[in-house]
Amino acid sequence: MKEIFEAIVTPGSIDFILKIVIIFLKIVVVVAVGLLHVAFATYFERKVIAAMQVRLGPREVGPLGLFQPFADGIKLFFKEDIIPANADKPIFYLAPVIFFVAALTSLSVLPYFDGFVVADINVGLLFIFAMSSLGAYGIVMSGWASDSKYAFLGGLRSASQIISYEIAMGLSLVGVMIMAGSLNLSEIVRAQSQYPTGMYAIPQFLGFFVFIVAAFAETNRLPFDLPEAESELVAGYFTEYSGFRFAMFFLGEYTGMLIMSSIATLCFLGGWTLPKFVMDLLPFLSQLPPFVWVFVFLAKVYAFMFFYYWVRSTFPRYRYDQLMAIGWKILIPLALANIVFTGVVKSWFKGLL
Amino acid sequence: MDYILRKAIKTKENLNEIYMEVSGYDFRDSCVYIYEKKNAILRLMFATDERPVDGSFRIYTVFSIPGDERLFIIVLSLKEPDMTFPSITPYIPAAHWYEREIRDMFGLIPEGHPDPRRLVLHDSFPAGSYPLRKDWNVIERDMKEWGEGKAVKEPYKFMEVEGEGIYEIPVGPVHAGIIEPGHFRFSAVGETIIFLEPRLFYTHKGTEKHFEKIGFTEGVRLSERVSGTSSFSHSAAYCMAVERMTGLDITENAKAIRTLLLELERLYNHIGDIGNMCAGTGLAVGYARGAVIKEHLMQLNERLTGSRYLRGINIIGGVRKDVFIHRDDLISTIDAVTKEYKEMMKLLLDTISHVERLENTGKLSNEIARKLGVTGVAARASGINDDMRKAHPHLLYGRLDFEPHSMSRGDVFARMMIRAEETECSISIVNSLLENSYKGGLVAEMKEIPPYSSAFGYTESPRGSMFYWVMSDENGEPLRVKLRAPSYCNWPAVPFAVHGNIVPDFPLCNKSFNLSYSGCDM
Repeated sequence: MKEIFEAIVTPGSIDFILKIVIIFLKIVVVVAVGLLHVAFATYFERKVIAAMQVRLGPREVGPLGLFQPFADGIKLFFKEDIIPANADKPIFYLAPVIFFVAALTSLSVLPYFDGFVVADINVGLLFIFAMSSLGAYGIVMSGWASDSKYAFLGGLRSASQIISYEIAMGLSLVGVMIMAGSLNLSEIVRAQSQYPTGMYAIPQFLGFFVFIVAAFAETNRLPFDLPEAESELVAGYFTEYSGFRFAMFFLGEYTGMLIMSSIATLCFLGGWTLPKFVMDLLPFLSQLPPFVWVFVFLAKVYAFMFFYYWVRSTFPRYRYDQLMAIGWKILIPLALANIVFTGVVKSWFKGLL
Repeated sequence: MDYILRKAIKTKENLNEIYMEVSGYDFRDSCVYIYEKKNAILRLMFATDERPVDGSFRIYTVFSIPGDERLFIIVLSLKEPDMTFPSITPYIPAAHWYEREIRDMFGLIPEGHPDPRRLVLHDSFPAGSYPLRKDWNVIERDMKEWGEGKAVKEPYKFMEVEGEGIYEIPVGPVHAGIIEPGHFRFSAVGETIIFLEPRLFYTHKGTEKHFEKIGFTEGVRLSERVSGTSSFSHSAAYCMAVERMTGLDITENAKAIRTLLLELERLYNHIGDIGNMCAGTGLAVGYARGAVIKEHLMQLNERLTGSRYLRGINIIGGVRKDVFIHRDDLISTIDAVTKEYKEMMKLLLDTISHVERLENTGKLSNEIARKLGVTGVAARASGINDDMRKAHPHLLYGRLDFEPHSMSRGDVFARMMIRAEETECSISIVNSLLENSYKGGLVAEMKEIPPYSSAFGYTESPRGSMFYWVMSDENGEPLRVKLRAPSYCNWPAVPFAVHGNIVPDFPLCNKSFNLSYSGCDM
């Protein structure tokens, strides 16, 4: 017994186990904190839109209505779980799980402040693309498995929309990759902090614009919320879902928004860093412990989330053909032009980028 | 007119109504003549059971000729056992619903009508039972038959579109939002609508039958409750019909108050509708703004009359309350609303993506609108310049200076712009009404209702022309009350407007017409 124990517990293996434990701890922290943010993103949204429409928003549950997200969650959790009689049951069960897991997995590669990332992999950006594409499978499967025309139409629309806009989104970030010379999100942020403006949003304004539009479409938000346009197709792909299965789609969608906001922050707004000239102006800032910078990151993420809500309450919904035309005829050419321009500048004026 | 008058067996004039009774041979000819040669508009068509009077059923076909204030009514008498009349639908398509309703409710058969299906009655309603006949009794016979489970006598057959890649999307009658029941069956290829068949009348309430039972005075309250957002137009038209029948002349003051409240009703409806169209495109800010202004106007209604929907103010012979004592409140609220409304319109017209969705969506051509007898905003947006306020001036409209607008493009955008122009027109009418003072008390003295007399009452409601026709029996109680709300004329036009559009644009097209279900399922 003792021999086996000694054989396993070598200094190297303790190190390994410790690493795994730390990773698990990180996962727990990220998922718990992440979901809490998702919950309050719904509250934030309702308050912001209410203010824009001269209403009050939620205010009954808890002080200022702060416990509204929990009330919503409890309600959804205890609702009856209805499954349509002719549903394709295994797929029907699996679809929300795929959608939700794909959204949550993306959280693992996001660096929240310097050195804090669950999986610091070199293909971080590609990984996020892959996961957001996987989410589309959840949508298509739910549409198919529900055995309902509304859900099916919603699923098909959503699939075509996500596929079209993924191209534009991927291309819009190529400029950032060229400038940073890396796909690792932490590296991209570090490269940005060395850049004079501290943010790639300024030199990469074209890419940023394309990314914003594509991000709205990718997360099915207004003005591109055709897959779930409530007045038209009842609810879209999740029409037949209820209770907690519905909540998974709902949470997945908000997680998706949070992730898109994080990508925008990391790739275009300088992540957890402040521009160099600010740091030079206020030298005491560099003395702060690293975890404080997570608030800078969150402030930027929430600014972008606010932008999401702002757009939602400002713009009308696009028609399906308009949506496709914008994606293929405007955004993709713009993103391509941006890549060519960035590449040319990078190779000709080496010092500039 | 001489053409018909020569053929007429009997003629009668009452105020601006000219009744011309023709024989069964001449009925169709006369109708087609006035429709084609005089370019007349078919206002309504209805039947009455006048067997207690002279043993016959009558069919009234009401036309109005542009530029002529009179109403021309071609009447056909039917005596048992011949219960058929020549259908005019093949020549005047606008009559198609009226004739089917007459068949359902009276058992008078329009011969040559292309559509043999029921319109108003439920599938399981017993065949051979005609509710609007005077001798119909619900308790003894029909309820028993219903109870015995002899349901579905005539299952409704929907039109089927065949071809490769065509699929049907059924929507309703239970909807996701809080709206009334209506079933819509789309036949679509991809996203494009090839054919839409709406089925309505799910909540047919037998309103006309009920009017006959409750007497003329109570009828005002019933008319107010036919359709919520045009309560005042309904009661104003109903009161007008009864007043004209009894020869009652209401005071100038009462006329002014009715005119003012009709315009206030139009205002809150039109602004609310413009806001609702934004809900169709998902423009939340426009929708919210429309709702805010509508709320201001409805609160004004409450301060003026005690009812947000302007109920309980009309009575036969006048109005219950003087609203001109609130002159200052009216002026300041209308001023504030005008300012907010102008800001809202600027915002909507500056939002290019909103305007782009409205333009060229839901086009209703002038030809189809004319053939189907479309009325109100939808008609004026399709180039038919018809407004009851001008065509048949009533109340104080004859004195007021305004021009109805029309546009020829016929799309959703045109329907929004017509509403916008009429909103401004209503604001100026309200302001000019407030400048003067009016003579007379609130209520004119009641007169006895003469037996077997009849008259029309009409007005331009926010949705379009509205008609009431009342007839008294030997005791001065109602023998027949016919009402025709604008939604009844406009529903058949919706399928034509959405043809060739994509399915997601249907709610937008539908909202641009903003039709009432209960104004149709009477």
